[in-house]
Amino acid sequence: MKKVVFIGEEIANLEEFLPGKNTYEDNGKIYASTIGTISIDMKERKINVIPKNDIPEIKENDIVIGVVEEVKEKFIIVNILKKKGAKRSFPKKITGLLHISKIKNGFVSDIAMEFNLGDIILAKVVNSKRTPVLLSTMEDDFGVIKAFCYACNTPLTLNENKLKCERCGRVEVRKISKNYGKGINW
Amino acid sequence: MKVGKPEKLIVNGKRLDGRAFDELRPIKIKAGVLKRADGSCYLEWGKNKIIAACYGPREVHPRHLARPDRAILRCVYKMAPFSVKERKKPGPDRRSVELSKVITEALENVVFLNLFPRSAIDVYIEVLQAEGGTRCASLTAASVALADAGVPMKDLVAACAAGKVDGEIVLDLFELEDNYGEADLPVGIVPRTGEITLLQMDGNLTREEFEKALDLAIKGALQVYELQKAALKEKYGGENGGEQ
Repeated sequence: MKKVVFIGEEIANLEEFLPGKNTYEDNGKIYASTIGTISIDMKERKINVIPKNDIPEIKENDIVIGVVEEVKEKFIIVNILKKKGAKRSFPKKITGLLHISKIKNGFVSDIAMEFNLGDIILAKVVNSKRTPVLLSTMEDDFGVIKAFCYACNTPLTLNENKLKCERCGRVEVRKISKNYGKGINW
Repeated sequence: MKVGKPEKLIVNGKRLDGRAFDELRPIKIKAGVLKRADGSCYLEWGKNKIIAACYGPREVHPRHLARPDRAILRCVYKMAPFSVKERKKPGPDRRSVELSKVITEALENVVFLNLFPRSAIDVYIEVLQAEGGTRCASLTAASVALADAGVPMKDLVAACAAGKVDGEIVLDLFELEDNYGEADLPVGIVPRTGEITLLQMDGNLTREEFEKALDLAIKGALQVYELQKAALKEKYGGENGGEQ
């Protein structure tokens, strides 16, 4: 097991390394700024502290859960709530953009046939450097994990690849995830 | 209902609770007591019982408070209605607003707020039982809660009070000494650099007395600092990793 360093603990000299993540420099010395373990990047000669209680950041290939906020002609806007593996929410509101070309393998003629306002979706981050973050739901795991009836707002149930409203009998279509209605267990 | 003023606050060279002049009350700190908070701390300081919870960095509500270049830190000091002898009316009052302000300002200097623009870090401090010196105890608990939440900080903030009772400079005043003593001097320090982030004075001290009291309070705060570190080490483990 690696040694745990504490806040304000001296971890290196400025001659040895550059201060990396979760560290700070004061008077020629490098100190830890969170509780965690040391990791050294010899290529960049940086010393980092990997925190025990991490504050999540969005990165490429992260699997995220979000709510559809806007449906446009060529894309949808998603409010990203949480990422897989993170214990808590993001430090600020993160919005994602899912372009029509990244929804599924195949032609999408009408985006309203794939997503609707208020749907809870599972997606993968393709590009995290841009704002809004770019998303993709190309794989089978991704897509809508919970949808609500357009007419009466009741949660829809999955029935042979179609979503049916138990209350009013309305049938809707979506880009459905494999995990529809099963919830997530992160 | 205040307890009547005792005739003497110092009897035979000892204080009313049997402590020496430079002795702290027994302190117990435990980090990570709340499951739903990002970081938390429970602290017992003599008969003071305080719980602190840290949330964030998270989205700011109301939105207009957000700063484009840094996070905002909001500490809320609150006393439970049952924390004192006579029921304390719940809700913000002059005293808790002041304490929230000084605690926020004491911690603002050590937290790296510039790393989280447009977000907020909230610290809620709940006093369950009070016995004088809750200001310092709350600040101590709040900084442990922040550290437990993984918020990047320069160092913890440790606090301790000193004061003047019956003409003697004593460390860590409790309720009676606080009410009937001559002066109270709460001090919050950043132990690594020795900077002072909280300094208030209630009552009058001469220059010499002030310097003596400040030195004593700093010595007390350094003892508190060791206990804070021990509490965090207990949760996160020292040499061999410990529990996650």
